[in-house]
Amino acid sequence: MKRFAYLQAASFGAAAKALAARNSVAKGGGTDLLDLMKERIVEPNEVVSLLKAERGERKGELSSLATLSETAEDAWIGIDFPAIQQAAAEAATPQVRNVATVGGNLCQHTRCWYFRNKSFDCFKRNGKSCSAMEDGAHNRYNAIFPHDSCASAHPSNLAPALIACKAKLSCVHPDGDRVLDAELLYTEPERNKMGDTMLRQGEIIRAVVLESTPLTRNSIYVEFRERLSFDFAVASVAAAAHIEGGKVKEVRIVCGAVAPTPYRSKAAEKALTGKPLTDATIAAASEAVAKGATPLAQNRYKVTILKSLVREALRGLRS
Amino acid sequence: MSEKEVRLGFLGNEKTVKVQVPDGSPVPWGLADDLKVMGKDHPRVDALAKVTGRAKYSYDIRFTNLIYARILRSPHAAATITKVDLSKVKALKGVLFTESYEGRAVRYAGAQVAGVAAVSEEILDDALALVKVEYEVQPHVVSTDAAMKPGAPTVTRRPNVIVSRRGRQGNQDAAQRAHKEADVVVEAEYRTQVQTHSCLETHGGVCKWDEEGKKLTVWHSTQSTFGTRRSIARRLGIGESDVTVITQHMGGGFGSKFGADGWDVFCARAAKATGRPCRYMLDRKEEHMIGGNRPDSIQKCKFSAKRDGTLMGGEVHSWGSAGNGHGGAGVYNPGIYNFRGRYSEQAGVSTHAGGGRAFRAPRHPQGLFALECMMDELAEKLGMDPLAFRKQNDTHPVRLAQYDIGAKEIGWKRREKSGSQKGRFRRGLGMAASRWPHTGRPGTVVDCRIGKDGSVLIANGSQDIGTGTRTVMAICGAEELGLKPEEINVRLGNTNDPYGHGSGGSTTTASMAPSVRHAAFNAKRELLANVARKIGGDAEKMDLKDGKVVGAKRALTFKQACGLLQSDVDARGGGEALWRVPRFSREVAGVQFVEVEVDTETGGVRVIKVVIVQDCGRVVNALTARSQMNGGVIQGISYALFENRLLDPNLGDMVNADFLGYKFAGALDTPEIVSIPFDSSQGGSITGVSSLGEPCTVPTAGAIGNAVANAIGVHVRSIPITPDKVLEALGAI
Repeated sequence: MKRFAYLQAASFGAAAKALAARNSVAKGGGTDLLDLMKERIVEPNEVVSLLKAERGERKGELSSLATLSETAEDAWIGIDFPAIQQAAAEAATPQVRNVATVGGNLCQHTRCWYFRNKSFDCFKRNGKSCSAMEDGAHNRYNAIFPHDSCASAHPSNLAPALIACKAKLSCVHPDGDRVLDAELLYTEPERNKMGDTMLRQGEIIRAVVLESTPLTRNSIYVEFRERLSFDFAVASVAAAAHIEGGKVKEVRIVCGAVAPTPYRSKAAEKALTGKPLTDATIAAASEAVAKGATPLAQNRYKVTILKSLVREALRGLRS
Repeated sequence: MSEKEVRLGFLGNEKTVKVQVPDGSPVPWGLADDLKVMGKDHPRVDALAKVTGRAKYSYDIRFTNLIYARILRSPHAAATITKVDLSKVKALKGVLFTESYEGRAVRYAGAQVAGVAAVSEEILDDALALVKVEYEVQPHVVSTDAAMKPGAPTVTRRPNVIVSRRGRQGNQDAAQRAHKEADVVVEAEYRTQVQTHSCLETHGGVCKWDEEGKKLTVWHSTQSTFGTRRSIARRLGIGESDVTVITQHMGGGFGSKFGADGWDVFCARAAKATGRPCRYMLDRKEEHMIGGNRPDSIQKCKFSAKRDGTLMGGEVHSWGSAGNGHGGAGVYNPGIYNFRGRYSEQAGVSTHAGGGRAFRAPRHPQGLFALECMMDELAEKLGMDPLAFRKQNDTHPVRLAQYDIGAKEIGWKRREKSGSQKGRFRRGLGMAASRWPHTGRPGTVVDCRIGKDGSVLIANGSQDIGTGTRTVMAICGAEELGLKPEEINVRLGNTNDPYGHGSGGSTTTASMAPSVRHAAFNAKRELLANVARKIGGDAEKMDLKDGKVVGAKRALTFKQACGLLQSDVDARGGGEALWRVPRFSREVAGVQFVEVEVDTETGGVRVIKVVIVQDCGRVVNALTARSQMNGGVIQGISYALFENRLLDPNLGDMVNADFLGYKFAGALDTPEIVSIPFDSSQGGSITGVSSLGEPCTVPTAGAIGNAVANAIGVHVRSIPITPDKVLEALGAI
């Protein structure tokens, strides 16, 4: 691990300033950062801990420093944004959930093992190509909607749930704060390889801004893991639907772990809008989600699982 | 010498054997003996030390001037190390010792390139990043299938695929004749993956030389203190008596830790060169890549039977890779059942991969996965209940009793016809049998000292691999001395004490128990002889029971008897004479029954319940016996559903060399486990104790495979049984 300085920031403003000035990284719970630093995948000069920063969240906000446990146990989140509550509760292990933060979960790096082993070439690590797409590569957990340059799967539980719930992110930056649609947080690997997100150097998510609507109140998060203890989802689905007069007025379907960024299926949403949630429309939506999937040699099964999860999520919204 | 009758077996199936007992030796325990301590539930004597963190593992050994060693390893699977530049490393402050392996050939990712020792782990990590290496990379092959293809790069000078002389077993003509006479034949290819030992405490230890640099002490994470002593002495060119190996507690071995490895020898050299104690514990990635593994297997099986359920032929051709060496990748298949003709031909396949090592029941879990699933496939084709089919073709008296116990406990009558369920979630029941040789052998020597103050010390120099050997020694000693286990002090894990075997083949408890009993018996005889001398009476008619001397002229507690001693009693136990007892059965038997639930939409398999009925001869400690059985089952579930070492074929490096990508069963994946020790009197030695550690992980994967097939109506013929394979079997991909 490269030697680094450690700064405990007292405020988001101070943290943003420190992060903007130097080769530094922000630390929330730090559950993954330490591993990445040990493997020298991330080699900052300075680690800026946000944990002691004044949270200062307002009404309608979920602090980015809230732990996943706090999020999963928050009554407001549970009632008005069940998908977010479920996503937080399903993550990792109780021990990790007790320290991992909302902001850290949103900004975590992919678990693609070719990204995490420096012996391999990796486009995201500024390499030439994606080792996960080579013939014979072990890509069973990789993207089924891969990009030309990168087949990583986005690991965040919370991101699909936030996007499904139309969350906004209140971000702090020395040059001025801004509010960003959660959906616009992530960017294709081609545009910002290692960064994963659109956050500028020095920009920090201060809080998630949430508005309770009929859509968010009827939301759900489901995932499939190979093992029940401590595993990342093979695929996940967050869905939210505003149903009025027996018909879908508005719906969002966002999938995790299937593409380099959270994957919103507008085709599936279109298949449902204006229609009732019936077995037939649900089946059509699940087919629509899988349409356009280009699975790799070892992960065709993820398409089947994804379709099942979409059905499960939509059935959950119907009841 | 006197002839004694000893009753062997279990309730409902007993036999009496005649045993010649040398004068002054203990009479073998038999079925009729009413033992007070043996076979009851006893918490580990070191439980408190372990759960409070006071127990010192090799990992915990610290000295103020301790230095740290590590070896830089090749990411390439086949290469020549053409240049190792250590100039920047040597210039780094805090680096004390280096070695270069320039010019050497690399035959697997993880092979050593350069060694460094430094004053801190941080500096060591910096130093390794500064080593500049040039490789001449050569073609490699890491998958067993690819290595078998014509034209594949060869790993050694010999061909990749070799059938050793021991690789051909049975009689091929007999097997094929049996097939011809059979009515039903099943042919299928079964596959098992590479499993790493994944010991929670990695390999390694701390080496410290005395001031003259002559005598070496190694605190080693080992399952064979004496094996480590022998191998490190040989590799360093010093005498065994110059080496002391200490293993007070260890965090798992499973067959991968029988002696000193290259990294230990490097650690000892670094310690000697610097005059400071040096520590080298592998990191998790090294542990996965070079710490050993269970070889994979491809098993092409042909089994046949008569329509009346008579098992006929069993023929298996197998290939497996134990990495960059040759051989060591055989499977136990066919076996267990009464095949009229059987034959196996087993090939070792060399690959550019980290070497295999003995792993909890070598050859068995992989062989039994195929063997037991084949038995179910055959039963299915015969239209027979798989349990009835097994009982018809099994003669082991213990297993025949166990089948019924297990079937009752799991509710085998509930089992539905395979593939008859229609819903999304389908339940399945499956079962499989286990076998393992009876073990335990002479050679273990135990000291027993009874102090004038009534204290008892029992000592042996071998280690506790984690099965609770300290407690076993206390129990066997307490039984013979009429005391409670907590009244016995036990010392182990130091080669300055008498010799004990390595913990391999499930032999430790079986080998230790007779020698402990013998040592305690000898000490007792000496103590009672002194009582007779002091207060009169016949020592031969006296014994120790419930903390008292019985048969003496007056009431005397154990402590009072000890108080009569002039000086401490020092007695020793061991020797061939303890082993002249016939066995009740030819091998150790067990059965496992499993219930699973399969999600047919996602392919997810959840184990709901496992029943294990396991014979281990006489049970020493029922509590830790059940604990062993639980552990064996969990490891078996993990093997059946999750674990898989994955090497990237293009680079040869392992892609999942951690505990996130290399998955094993966690708390939520662990089902209800009903562990039923089958306590019986098996003979073999004066204590009748036999193997337990290995047989309880042997059949789990086979039983799970059969339960999955029962649920979904089709066999997944490859482990780990992951969602993709289940969905594919269901035609849902």
